[in-house]
Amino acid sequence: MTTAVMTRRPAWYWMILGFSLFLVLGGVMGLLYAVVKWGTPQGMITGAAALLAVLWGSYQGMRAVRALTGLSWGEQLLHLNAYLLLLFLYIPIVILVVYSFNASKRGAVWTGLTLHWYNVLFHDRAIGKAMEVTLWVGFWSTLISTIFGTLAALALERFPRFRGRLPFDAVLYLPIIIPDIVMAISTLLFFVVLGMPLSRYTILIAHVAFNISYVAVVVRARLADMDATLEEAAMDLGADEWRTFRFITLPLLMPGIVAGALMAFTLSLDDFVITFFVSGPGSTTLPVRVYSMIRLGVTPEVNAISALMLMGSISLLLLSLALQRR
Amino acid sequence: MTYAVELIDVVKEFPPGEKGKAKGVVAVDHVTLRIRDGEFFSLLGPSGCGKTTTLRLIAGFETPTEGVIRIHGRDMTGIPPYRRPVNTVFQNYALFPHMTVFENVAFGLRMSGLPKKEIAQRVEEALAMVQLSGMEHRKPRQLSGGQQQRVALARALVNRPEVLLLDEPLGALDLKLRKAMQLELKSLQQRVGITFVYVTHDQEEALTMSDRIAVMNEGKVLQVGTPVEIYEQPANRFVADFIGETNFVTAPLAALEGNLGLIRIGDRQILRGAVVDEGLQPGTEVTLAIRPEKISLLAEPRDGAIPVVVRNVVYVGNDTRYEVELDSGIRLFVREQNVHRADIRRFTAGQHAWIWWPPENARILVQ
Amino acid sequence: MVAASRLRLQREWHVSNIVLQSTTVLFSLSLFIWAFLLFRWMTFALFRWTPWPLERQLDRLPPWAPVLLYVTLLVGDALILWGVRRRRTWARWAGLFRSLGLVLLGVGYYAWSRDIVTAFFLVGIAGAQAAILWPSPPWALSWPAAYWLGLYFMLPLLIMFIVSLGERSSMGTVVYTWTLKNYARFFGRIGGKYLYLLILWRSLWLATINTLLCLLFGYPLALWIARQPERKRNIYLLLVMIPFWTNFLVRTYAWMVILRDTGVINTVLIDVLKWTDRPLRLLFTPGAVFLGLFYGYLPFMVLPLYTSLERLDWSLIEAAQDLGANMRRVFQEVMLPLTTPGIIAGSILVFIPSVGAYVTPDLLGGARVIMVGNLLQQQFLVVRDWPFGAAVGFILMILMLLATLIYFRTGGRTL
Ligand SMILES: Nc1ncnc2c1ncn2[C@@H]1O[C@H](COP(=O)(O)OP(=O)(O)OP(=O)(O)O)[C@@H](O)[C@H]1O
Ligand SMILES: [Mg+2]
Repeated sequence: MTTAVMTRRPAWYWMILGFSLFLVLGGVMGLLYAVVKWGTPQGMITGAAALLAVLWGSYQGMRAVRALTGLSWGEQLLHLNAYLLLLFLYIPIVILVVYSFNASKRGAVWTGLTLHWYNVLFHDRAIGKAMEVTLWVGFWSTLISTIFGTLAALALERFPRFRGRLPFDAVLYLPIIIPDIVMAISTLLFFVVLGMPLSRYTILIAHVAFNISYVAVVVRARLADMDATLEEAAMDLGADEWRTFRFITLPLLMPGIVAGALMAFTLSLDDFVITFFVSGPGSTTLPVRVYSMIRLGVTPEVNAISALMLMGSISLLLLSLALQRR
Repeated sequence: MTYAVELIDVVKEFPPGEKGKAKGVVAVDHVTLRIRDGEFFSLLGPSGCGKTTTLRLIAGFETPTEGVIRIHGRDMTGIPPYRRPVNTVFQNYALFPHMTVFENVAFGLRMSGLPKKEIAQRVEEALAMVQLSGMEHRKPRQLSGGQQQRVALARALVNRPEVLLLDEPLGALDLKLRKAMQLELKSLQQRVGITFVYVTHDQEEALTMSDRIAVMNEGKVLQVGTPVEIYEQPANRFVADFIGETNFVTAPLAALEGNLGLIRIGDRQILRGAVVDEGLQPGTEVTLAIRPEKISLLAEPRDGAIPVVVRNVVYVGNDTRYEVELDSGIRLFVREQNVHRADIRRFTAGQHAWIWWPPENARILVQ
Repeated sequence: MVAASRLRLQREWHVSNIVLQSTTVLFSLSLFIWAFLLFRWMTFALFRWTPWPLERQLDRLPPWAPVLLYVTLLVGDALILWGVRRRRTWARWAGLFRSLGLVLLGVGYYAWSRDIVTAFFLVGIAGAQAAILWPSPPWALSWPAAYWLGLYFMLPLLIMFIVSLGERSSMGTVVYTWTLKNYARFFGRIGGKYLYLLILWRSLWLATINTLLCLLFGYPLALWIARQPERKRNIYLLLVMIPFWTNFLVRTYAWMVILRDTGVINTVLIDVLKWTDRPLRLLFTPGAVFLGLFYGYLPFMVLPLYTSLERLDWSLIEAAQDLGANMRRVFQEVMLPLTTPGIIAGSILVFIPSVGAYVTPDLLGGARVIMVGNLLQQQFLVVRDWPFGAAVGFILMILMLLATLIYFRTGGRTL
């Protein structure tokens, strides 16, 4: 296959590959130029040339790759798509992190490396308060929803039929299905109509409401995978219901519960829309605070806090993966 | 006499809707079993006949729809599994994956609140009994299938149950290990003297190991008896068919001679067999059942022998199977042991021969 | 003899250990709560507790009344617990009645004091005790989640519906007039144009295109990851999961840093390449919103797709190729049907939040109302026309429910 395609020496194809890469990159720049100079003659001409360069360059490049590696067109496109998408997913994040170290106060011009914005952040009282509320809400909502969600999952998985099971099952799925903005406004209306002042407690209530569902879904999946005969074996060996739960069900379920809890915690930390609607003055969470900072104007401080939040999410993810692997 | 386990007219019906079934399933249908103390009792039957369900009823995982279950005379109605004097070896072993071998075996003793020292000692004994000493600290997934099976056995036996329930405990093992474990299980049972209720769909396993066997089909118990009784005197066609290989010839009963019955096929040939059911009238449709190895294939005619043509010869190691055709077109299987080398292929396809059997070797069963 | 045993039978409650144990736990908990409340009440002068809403309300009564209340509850629960542990039938009934009483107490208390939190709490405890004593183990387990979701999720939806039938007063409050005006307004013409329907239409349209694009690019990516060798596969999977877990706001904001007038692209164009001195208008355009949606929800598509592609048995594909199918046929006849659950799950996960998106159009689309999310925010927080906002929210919810219903009909089971 490879030899059939390769009719010249590899060095030749490497040269073609390099040249076509050059063409494509140049072409992309040319297209950009055309966009900037849209409507002017030189813009139009550059654009047309650049388009040709990109097309011709990629065609030749792919031919060269085919000759060198024997990958078919389809497979090359698959690779290309994957690499470009991963780049696309990460470029903004990387830029954000990099710019959080930029000394310049305004604009994107690089004026030097600094940790100044992190320093500013750590001395920002409002951020500190928001952080505290976020963690408080995250902790309690995780705790409550993990317990409640796990119990509900147990009921639904271990009791295949009881009155009202179907409606309960449906209601448990609803918070995942309906858009968060709808949940946000309905919860806000509820609190206002019943006369509950908005505070961190109202945030907590709303967060628990959607977290229960996610925990239940995660734990249920784990329970469904679990071998029910293990519980029967425990009972057979003299363990009553409680001890069966304590010594068999709970330990085996633990990875699922932990995964559910971490998911709940992340969702709670990340939630913006619902919190935005049900948080009162003086009880905002970090995302809501960041949002208002963004609305007030993009400052380097926001870059810094975003980078920190990013790191937080990544470490939570790694933690959850590590715990699940055990 | 009190029995180790008694099932009296037990019915288990699963309600419709479960397991995607629209109609309810009667998994156990008016079953009455009396299992004696210290007995190795097997439940044998095809897949889905209700063996596991019967076992689960005894263990207490299912509650009977009707009927009574007693263990050593005590009514088990309403008694949860953890308060029944039985232990189970599950088909998939159900070893706790998050516990070591030691912890698995110790689980039952811990639940009954024994002191630590005694637990350690008894677990050690149990593991020694199943030849697993030194594996205490492994997790179940670090064990081979056979070893896991033995852990499951030790875990159940260490509690010294009055009755041990085993649900196809050897199902997942390869043939050789299976044979070895069969012998081991049997000798173990004789040593500890505990009543075993053993579920299997492997007839050979049941025949070699059991003191008595109950053959089940579609939730019903068709026959209970010793292996010899089940094999030699099957009570009905299903049992005869399910256990070993059997030739069946269906025809009206021609005449009765004492406890022998005669059936006529074609216009001249008469087959004889022992009549099982009393009060059978000539003229009723019956089935004659005769095992292939009980038929002698003769080169020369003799009194009462039936002429046949050999149609097929298959050499199967320690014996040879012949398929012979009677004049009336009925085909029967005959099996001969290859005792001497000269026995092999005594007949070839197309050859004329005669078959004969002592009449009491065949059984005449009602349809 | 027979009579005596029958008597005992009647007085004994046949119930499993687990019910007794959980009853014990729950009643001990409520005993502890009453005792603690009593303790606080008695020692207010001593410890200067910060009063709870309940206590602030009870302060309106003569001081002995709360004591009486707490002691009654305490003694009552202790008696019930004692009886239940002895499997007495009367204790079970007493417990059930007490639960009912506690519910009534909660309702009455709310009517008297308007202190909703405490009332909810009382009713919650009562419900849990009733479910355990009934006894209904599945409901005892489900009760906390069911109660919470019922109160704080279903009831709000109901209230939203009721409010949507009202009208906005001139002061911005809700007047319950039971009309369908808001719905008529949503579906009707405003100044000759179907203003709101247009917004809804645009949201649905954007979400659909976004879903399709995510599918178009996400499927090959998922396929590519699934076909990597084990170790690489986990790394690439992690690379997709990181955006999935990262704060949506942060990821949207990253695009602002790139696209705004003083952003990365414009800086490069103006300061580095010096092609122009007037920044390109990239942010606050529909294109930016679209980019943000695609960027934001792509991982939501890739992960479920990956899950179903990974489960796919590759020998099937090889078998199909072996049977002479070309790549296109293999895809159509084997891969597509087998990965349908993943496709549907991914589509739902992208489509629903895309329709209801708020952050993306708000941050990347500027002040204009582009999608339903903006409309809702505007009606609730700017115009303060809650009834109309509620109606819009209700319509959106119904639409999404229909979409999911269709999803479940088409055979998907996992989310
Ligand atoms: N929980 C259940 N719900 C509904 N039907 C059931 C349930 N358990 C078993 N059955 C049905 O009862 C019948 C008997 O099942 P059982 O498991 O006892 O068979 P078995 O003899 O053990 O078969 P096998 O040899 O395959 O294990 C089957 O038709 C089965 O489908
Ligand atoms: Mg079975």
